Amino acid sequence: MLARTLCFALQGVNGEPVWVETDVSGGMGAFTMVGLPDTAVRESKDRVTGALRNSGYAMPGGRVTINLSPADLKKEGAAFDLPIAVSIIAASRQAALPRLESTLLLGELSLDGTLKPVRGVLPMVLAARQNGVKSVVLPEGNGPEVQSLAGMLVYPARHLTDVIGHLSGRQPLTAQLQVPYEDSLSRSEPALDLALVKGQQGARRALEIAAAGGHNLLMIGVPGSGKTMLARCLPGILPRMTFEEACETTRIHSVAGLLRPGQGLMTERPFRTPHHAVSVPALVGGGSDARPGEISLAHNGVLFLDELPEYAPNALEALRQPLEDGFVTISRVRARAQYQARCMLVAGMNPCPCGYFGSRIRACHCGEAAIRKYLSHISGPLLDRIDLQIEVDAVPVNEIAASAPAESSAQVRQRVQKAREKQLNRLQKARLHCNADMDGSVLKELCPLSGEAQMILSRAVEHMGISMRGYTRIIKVARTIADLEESPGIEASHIAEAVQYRALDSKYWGA
Amino acid sequence: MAYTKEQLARIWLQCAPMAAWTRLRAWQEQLGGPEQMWDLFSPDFHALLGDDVYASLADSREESCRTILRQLEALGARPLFLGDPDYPEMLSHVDKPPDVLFCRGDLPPQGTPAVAIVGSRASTRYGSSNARRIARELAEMGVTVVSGLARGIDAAAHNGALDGGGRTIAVLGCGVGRIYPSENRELYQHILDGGGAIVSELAPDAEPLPYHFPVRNRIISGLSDAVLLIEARMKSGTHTTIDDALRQGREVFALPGNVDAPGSELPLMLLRDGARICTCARDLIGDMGWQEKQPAQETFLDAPRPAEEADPILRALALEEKTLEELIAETGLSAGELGTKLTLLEINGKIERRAGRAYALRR
Repeated sequence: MLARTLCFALQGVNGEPVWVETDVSGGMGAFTMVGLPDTAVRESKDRVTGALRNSGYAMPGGRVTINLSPADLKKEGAAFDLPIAVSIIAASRQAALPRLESTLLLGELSLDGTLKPVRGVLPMVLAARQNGVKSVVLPEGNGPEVQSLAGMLVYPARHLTDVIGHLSGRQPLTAQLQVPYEDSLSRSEPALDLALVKGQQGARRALEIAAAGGHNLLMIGVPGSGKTMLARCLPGILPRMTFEEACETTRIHSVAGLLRPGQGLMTERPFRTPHHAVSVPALVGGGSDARPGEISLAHNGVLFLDELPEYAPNALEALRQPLEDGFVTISRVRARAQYQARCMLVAGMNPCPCGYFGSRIRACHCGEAAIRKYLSHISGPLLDRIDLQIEVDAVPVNEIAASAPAESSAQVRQRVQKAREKQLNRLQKARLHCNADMDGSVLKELCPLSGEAQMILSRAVEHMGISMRGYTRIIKVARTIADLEESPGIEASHIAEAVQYRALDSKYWGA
Repeated sequence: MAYTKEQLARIWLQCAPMAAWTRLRAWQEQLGGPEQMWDLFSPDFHALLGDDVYASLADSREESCRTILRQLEALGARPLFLGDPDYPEMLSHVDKPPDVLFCRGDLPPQGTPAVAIVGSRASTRYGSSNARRIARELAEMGVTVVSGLARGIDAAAHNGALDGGGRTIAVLGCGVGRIYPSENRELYQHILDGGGAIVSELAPDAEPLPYHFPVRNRIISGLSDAVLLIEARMKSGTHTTIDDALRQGREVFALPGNVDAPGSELPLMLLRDGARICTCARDLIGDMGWQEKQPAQETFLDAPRPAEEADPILRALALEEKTLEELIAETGLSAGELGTKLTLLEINGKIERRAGRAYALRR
């Protein structure tokens, strides 16, 4: 007899419908699985055999053929265990399962029949919803991941027998309650609160501007000046993730298998810190099955590269296109995928090889040539993508102890959120998200300068050795500063402040 | 240019590796002079001089120094012989003057006052900027600035002299046909373009070997009437220049530095031991008893301090540079407001920004 059940295979962050067709007939005992299964899917035969036996069912003695259709789509992962096991039970008539064809089944089986969480549940369930599926049975650990999805009955199950009981109608499972996204939002706490950062008024201001305009940020400072800590505060002052953003980010993490069992939608923006020995595929995505890289894992969040000049030049070059386009396409022999990669790049670096150029604590003993060489590791085109470049100084220990509590992340976030709303209104027509996305033509149209502002800018350019590339960056940053101050136009004071954030452009550097 | 046989012999000996100079000088004295050395040179010297020295002398003698002369000609350099009228007179009076000095460009006329400015290669901003300023002031007064084309203070001194439109002499620790360190390639050319000179006592293609530099230091002080030390650690190559200067009877000046800066060790020790203090070119010119060619412009110590201190930022910066955080603490302005004001002050030429997000009054 034949049984069919629906499942989904991951293609990048999308789920493709796959029918699991099982035919059990008499004859000599044999088990065949066709339809391009990968090793994990192929091995499910042995897991399923054990799970069936230990749940009071049996692998039929005759010929078992399993077809994963469409036949030319590659299938991977252990999520197929449950549909295969259930369809074998149905096809061999060990139980009547009337609800089988209308329910999506996902899950890995252990030999005792327990269901174990799998990766990629959110994208698969989203795809199922699009395909008109109304109910899904999945391992308990995966329940929270889809708890905020509307229009889907989710049945978390613990054991194979629970699933059979549910599908046969003998002992239906209870659907999990839908938790509105806003409820899960209120429960999340920022990883690091800005209130804990002592002093650093200059850097705090730059952080706020970066968050408000979505600008990439480079922090230059002596070792121990708190660059990493400042960067870690950024997710907490960025606007709350919308439901769509949370879904996008969670999907990518789900595909990468990075969600903890029991973890729901990601409500905090991701903060990724790949080590500087990171390879190109690990950074932008790759591997034989085209998994997402760090830049996609940081989608809607922050990608923090500490010690920027230590990264391999080709790794940094590979970042340029995704930073520009907001997505990355990976083609490999076995797979091809497109991942979103709209993140804020935050980088930290020392001012020179020894780290103490311009410091008062310790003398720098780097030659001019050594400093120039160190700085040259970062290519101009990459620097061009970084609107804010600031210097961060170490805070003396006695000041850390003495200073009064600073503003908290929540207070800063309110201003950031307001500034973002202004930008969204202005940029709606151009289909952009934030000031950092503006290019030359949009800038010209939407960001006119007052006469005085224009004069200050020209004088700064000629006086302070600012490159023409730096010019447009300054206007973008000035626009964000104006948004923070709720000023409709860009005034001279906004331009003047924006000029301060071009540390690497200034003439003094290395001179 | 045609050379006499004696001159050829002197060039020939001068171009031998530095390690053999002492032995060669002893042999010259035994044999009666360079010419005799040239004539009597034979494979017998092999054992006396060692492989490399013998080979290099034998090669260049074989072809009558043609390679060396060709190199000199290609560079536009010429040899100056000790005792000739165009040999720098100051140098001819020191202990062990170079017998032949190779020179690119033009040395200033005999009797032009010259000051050597020396100091650490790992200079601080304080050292470099003051070396450059004083060199400029000296050049404006018609004083030649002598230094060693090294990075740090040396490069700042040469650059300063060029800023002031003056001549400057670079004494190399390698041949005049080499540029070391290579980052000073442009500077090398600017010195020549500015009517200055590049000199060395080594063969035109000699490499910059570590032991060349202490030996060349005696030429730096030897070409100068006074030596100004800017910044150096106690144990440094610069120390040998000061020792040479004292032996040669040159006046030693030092720029005072912060007592807690490592680069102040040597200058402060010299000042304690009786070196003269130099904060601007006028200090030096006055002490040396030279006539000023033109009145010195506003100098460092007695620059008027205008009563502009109504601006809280300028008031905070009156005595020393401050970082952004210090300015925030002192003026009570927010980071944003301060950023705006600082840019305006900077483009109006009142302050300058320095590494480490520090700001200082512009002088």
